Amino acid sequence: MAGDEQQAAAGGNGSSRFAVTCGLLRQYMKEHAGGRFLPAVPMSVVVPGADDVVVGAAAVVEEAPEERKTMELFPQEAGTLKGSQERKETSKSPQLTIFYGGSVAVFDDFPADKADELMKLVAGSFDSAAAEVDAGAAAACHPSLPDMPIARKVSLQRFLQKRKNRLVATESFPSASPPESEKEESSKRAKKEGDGAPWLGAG
Amino acid sequence: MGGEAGDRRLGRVMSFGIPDVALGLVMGFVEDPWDRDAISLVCRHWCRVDALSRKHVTVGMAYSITPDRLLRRFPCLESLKLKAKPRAAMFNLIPDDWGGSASLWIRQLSASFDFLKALHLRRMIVSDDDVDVLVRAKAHMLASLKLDRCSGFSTSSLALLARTCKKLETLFLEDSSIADKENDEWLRELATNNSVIETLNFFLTDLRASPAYLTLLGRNCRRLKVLKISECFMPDLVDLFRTAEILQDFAGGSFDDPGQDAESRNYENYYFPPSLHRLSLLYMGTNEMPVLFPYGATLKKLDLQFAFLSTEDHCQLVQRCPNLETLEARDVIGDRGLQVVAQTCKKLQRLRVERGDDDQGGLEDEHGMVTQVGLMAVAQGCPHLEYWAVHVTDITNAALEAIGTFSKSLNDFRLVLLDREANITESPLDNGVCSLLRGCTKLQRFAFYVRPGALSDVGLGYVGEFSKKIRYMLLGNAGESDQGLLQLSTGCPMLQKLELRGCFFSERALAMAALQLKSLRYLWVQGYKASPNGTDLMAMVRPFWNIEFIAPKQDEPCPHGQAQVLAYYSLAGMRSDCPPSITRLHPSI
Repeated sequence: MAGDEQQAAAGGNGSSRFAVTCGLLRQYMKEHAGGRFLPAVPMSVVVPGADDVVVGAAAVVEEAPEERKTMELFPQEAGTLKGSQERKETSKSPQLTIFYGGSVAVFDDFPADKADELMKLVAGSFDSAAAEVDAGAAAACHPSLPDMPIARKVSLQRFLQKRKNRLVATESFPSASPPESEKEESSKRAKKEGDGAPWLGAG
Repeated sequence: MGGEAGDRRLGRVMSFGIPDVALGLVMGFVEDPWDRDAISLVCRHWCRVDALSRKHVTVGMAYSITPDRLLRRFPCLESLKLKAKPRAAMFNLIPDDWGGSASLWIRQLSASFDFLKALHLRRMIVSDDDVDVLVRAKAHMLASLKLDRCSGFSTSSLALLARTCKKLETLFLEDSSIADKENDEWLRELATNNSVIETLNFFLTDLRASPAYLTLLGRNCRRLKVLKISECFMPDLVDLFRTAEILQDFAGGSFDDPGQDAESRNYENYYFPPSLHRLSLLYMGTNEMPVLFPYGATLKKLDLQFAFLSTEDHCQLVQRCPNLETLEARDVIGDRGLQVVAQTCKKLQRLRVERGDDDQGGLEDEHGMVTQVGLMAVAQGCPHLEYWAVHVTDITNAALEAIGTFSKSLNDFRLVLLDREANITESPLDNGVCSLLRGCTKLQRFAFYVRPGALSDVGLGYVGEFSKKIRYMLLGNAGESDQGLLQLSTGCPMLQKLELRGCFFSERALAMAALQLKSLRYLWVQGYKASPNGTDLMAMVRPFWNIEFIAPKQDEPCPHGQAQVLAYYSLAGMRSDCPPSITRLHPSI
């Protein structure tokens, strides 16, 4: 909806929305000439690893958004000129992300041609590794999740901890308190330790 | 329009023949954002009318849209709520350097949102500079500022706000992490410069507040209705309560101050203003509890999460509070306490039972356990419950069925099964969950955190089938295999936000579910069946989705350091402030 407003503004006086949209489409096609409309399908390839039974690596070169292969004509990015400028700025340092042996590595400023080389390298070893994949995938699927205790809400936990620390502190230095206060403290403590004792019998 | 879920698809034919004047008048009465969304889709003109008349917007994920874009869509916004860090941050599960700075937003809001007078930031990082920028632009009109579970600023910002924002009616800082806590000069500034403040909340912040300044506040700020402070010895607050005559809601104080002598601990005839209906007192123990007895019948809200009472104390106190609409406690309240609640509190709308201090033997009442017994009693006794969050040590299908049968008003139900007991009475709970979801037709939020085996794939299928209106869902240790998740994802037509923890789903299944759930725009997962190389997550990648892989901390062997996946729909592109521990997944070449 905001996109519509944007387009209307870009179109200026009198020109219809349709004409503006056509213009944008033409411009988009021009910029992305060469039949490069590939679907944005993730590519993953597998290479044999040195130590692991099975390792997989997917080289994923981070793309600048304006080089996306999908036809995002609507609604958000095609019409926002300012947005595309911002995106250009952020695309100066393409990153390379590699999933390998269960870990993730990110390399900044990775040139695209090097990434291509790497992808070729990885693709070359694909066939030899393919056989190992099935066996390895099965082995990696041990049906057990690491123990994951129920998380505690920080605010309440912090409060309970603070009170616990205070109880410990008052217990460690009983003589520091004035006599009456000490009596009060200890009776209070006794009450808390034997919490509910009077009603236990009743209940 | 607030009727059935499917009714919101309004046709263009709706717009024919309705004059602009009438449309404008009607729109003025439509506040529900979902209704407004539906209206804005009818035709271009209605969209424009909605855009110009929308006063408040909540952005559930600050990285999902740019301030620019929001302004273009809603140029007349008066109130904005923004949330950034995932909910898991409240449980210490998100790395400190995750991000969530409010700087960009505050700069743009200050520069271009001319009508903005209320800002609510939740789980964000707000620096002193940010507050300075905001104050420079908005001091003359800022009516409400909520820095809700935020961090990064100090009391000097509070002093600035107090000095300059004369129209500030609400200052909310609850559970925020604020630097320079000992300096309470800001409170004096507020008390002397602001006469319109109605809500001041710095509960759970540990900010110091001298009783003299609080009394000054009560005396000068005659509209003060809500005051939530940090620890402050109750006998020192007597003057405050005498002066703040129209106070309705108070939280904080303290009955526990080892530095004070015994004489000052006499709470007989302690005075609270007659208008006070909502209370949360820190460190209230058995001896101090009678202070509330004379006020029991007037109380609408009682928060006992920060009190130290036995199960019996809870029974005694609740018995005296027949008009409670909101009750919050730790699980020490026990089944017995909940039975008393069921008998006494017929008007109860919100009930929260938090997890107590279960690993420190002796401190909590051993009899404080909540099970199916307590749940069944409450379901039958409190028919008006709308919000119910509870931590239990045992649960049965019958109890869940009872909730489905009786709790017809529930729109938010959250259950966590604790791991205190090795075994629970009944498992799986598939049929109970099925009955609950079928019965509670108003449910919009649903959390079910159990243990492996307690909700099978069949149960997940039920969840998918009967969650017609649920927008938010949390599942913990649920399901047995990918099949369950896939089954779930064929249903849940309204599900926008899904959180999964400790569920045995593969990356591929997570990705397929993310693609299949048609309303989904936010997914957080911790603990899943990771593929050897993580590439299966790539199946989730698509335009307008930001997918972040949060690597476990290398130096922390603790289980909280498990890998997480956060995926959200975004019109703002990739965020640029990811720390090294976060990997953004992109479409590959």
